Amino acid sequence: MFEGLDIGIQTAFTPFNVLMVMTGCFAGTFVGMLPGLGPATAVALMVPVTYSLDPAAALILMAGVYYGAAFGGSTSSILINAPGDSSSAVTTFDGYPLARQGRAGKALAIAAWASFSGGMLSAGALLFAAPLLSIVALSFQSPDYFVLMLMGLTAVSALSGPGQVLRSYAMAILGMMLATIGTDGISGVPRLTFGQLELIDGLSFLLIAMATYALAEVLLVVLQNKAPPENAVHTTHLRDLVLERNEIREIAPAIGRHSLLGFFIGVLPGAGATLASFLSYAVEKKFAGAGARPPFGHGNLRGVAAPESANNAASTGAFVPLLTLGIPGSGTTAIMLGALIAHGLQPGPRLYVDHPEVFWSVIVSMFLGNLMLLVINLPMTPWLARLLRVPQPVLMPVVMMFCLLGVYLVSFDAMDILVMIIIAVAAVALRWLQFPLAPLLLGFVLGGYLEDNLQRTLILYDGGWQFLWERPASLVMAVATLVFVGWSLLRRNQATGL
Amino acid sequence: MKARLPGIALVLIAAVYGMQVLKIPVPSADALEAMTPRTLPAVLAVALGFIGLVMVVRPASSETSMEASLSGASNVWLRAVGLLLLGLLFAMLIDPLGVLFASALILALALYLMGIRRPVVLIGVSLGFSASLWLLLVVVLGLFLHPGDLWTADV
Repeated sequence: MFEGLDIGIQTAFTPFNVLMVMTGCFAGTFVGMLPGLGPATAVALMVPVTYSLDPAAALILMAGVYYGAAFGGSTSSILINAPGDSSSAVTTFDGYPLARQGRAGKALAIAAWASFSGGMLSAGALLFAAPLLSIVALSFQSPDYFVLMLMGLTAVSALSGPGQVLRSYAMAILGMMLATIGTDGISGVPRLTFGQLELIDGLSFLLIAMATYALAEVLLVVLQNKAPPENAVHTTHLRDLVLERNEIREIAPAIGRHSLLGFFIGVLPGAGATLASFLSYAVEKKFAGAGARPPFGHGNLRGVAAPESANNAASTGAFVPLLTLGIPGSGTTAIMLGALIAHGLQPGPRLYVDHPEVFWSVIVSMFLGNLMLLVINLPMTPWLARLLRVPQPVLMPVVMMFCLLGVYLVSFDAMDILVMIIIAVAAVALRWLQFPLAPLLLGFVLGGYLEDNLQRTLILYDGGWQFLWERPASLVMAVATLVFVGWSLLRRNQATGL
Repeated sequence: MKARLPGIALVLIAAVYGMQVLKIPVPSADALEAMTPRTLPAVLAVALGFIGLVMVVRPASSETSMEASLSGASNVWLRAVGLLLLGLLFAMLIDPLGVLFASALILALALYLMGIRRPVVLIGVSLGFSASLWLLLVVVLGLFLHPGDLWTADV
């Protein structure tokens, strides 16, 4: 591990990669602040830029954008009561009341320290957990990979919100359907190409990610047409960003508790930062009891610290299944997985062996990134917050242009813009019908690999399915898959009252 | 009926996809294999159709439409459709006008569509965007951006 860590430090601390961490954190904070645009959008917008970078720098940049956006999301939650994304929605509960009381700087400082601590603690946990899991996963063969991918897809759907279970399964299947377009990996037969040569290689991952997560978000923000909230707090001063000793004593235990909780939730595929922040808020509220002063929801400092530490820890925890198993736990990590595949890398246990500089440098860069968020971005918050004054009618067309150019500048094919617009319209329709899009992206990214591994497995086992009980790893994961499916269907039945 | 709409949509998607799956050629050498190019797509079509049917027959009571969160104002819908049309126009103009000029033009039109009327904002944002793009792509990254067929074509 120490040898790997050494490689990681050497790679992450090259001037260029340090610049990538800084750029990622800054760009992530910038986009994450914009109401309605969260980490997934921020990372999707960054994907075209990563194509000109080496894989390590690309992943470092995207990771920086990811936790930078989580940090930025809390700023708009606190100052204008409009979360950048769902994972920072809980921060509005106590963050915005604090801002209304004239303590916006305090709330921002607590959010920053909580995010920093959550990020650092979980990066430490990632440092130990990821290599261990990679070593176990190295013994995996095609049958195990097939079942693992099936488990990843079902876990994402099973852990989705109430009333979303079947919708999530449907979206994962739809994503896999999109992945079947193009040439079949084993037989070389073109499938569902409608005779179009452009479809022989299948749909571009970048196009799907940009359309569903970036352009569709722009359209939804326009369609939702939310007026800026009244009493928005746009200004804060540097002196307000300093925490007093009694405040640190009050929030420190909560940060410790929820950093761990967030990390473990983040490791679960599909659970993600949103569940982590909501759960940690509920747990901390119970922990504080009825005697909490001020009450939760009225500007309690722990009400800001708990969800902020949990969501940043969960963002880091999501890298465990991504780096070690090649299974993205969320839409954002699915975008990263797709971008890495486009770089010719297959995240998973072989990444640890074949590309240790990528594996370790991204972990090391997280320590650096979290430090930068605190040291550079926090003092800049009063100035960054001015961004929130830029009206949405100006911001949204600019973001739309980024989307259109992002796709065009990779292929230099105007046809891709047309396809992206069609997919974005379909994505808006799916969102309108309350279908979650993260499982679709996961299904798209994992679908091809799932099919390849199943084909290889069936050739190895002469068309039989005995690998499901003959291989211990496959057996364990198959049982887990059945448990996920059974449990999720039970939840749905309870929700429908059946 | 509204609660059943998502399920109906899934069944329709599954049916259309399933029909296309039947057209996937299976090489004769693979016909007796456990898995052909058609196997997984067929399984997916059946699975999606099944989920759609379940959602039609028993829509979950907690499943709500997003309709409430979308604005009912017609100008909002016009703006969204307008942005999409501008996106299509961008796709048509990008080769003849070139990336930088087409970007500035479409961005200015999009800002106008979104209700921005001040010329300084319209021109400043759109030209500033194109200038930043040129700086990043051409100066920093050293990419070649085609200036556009219209400006380079022989007269």
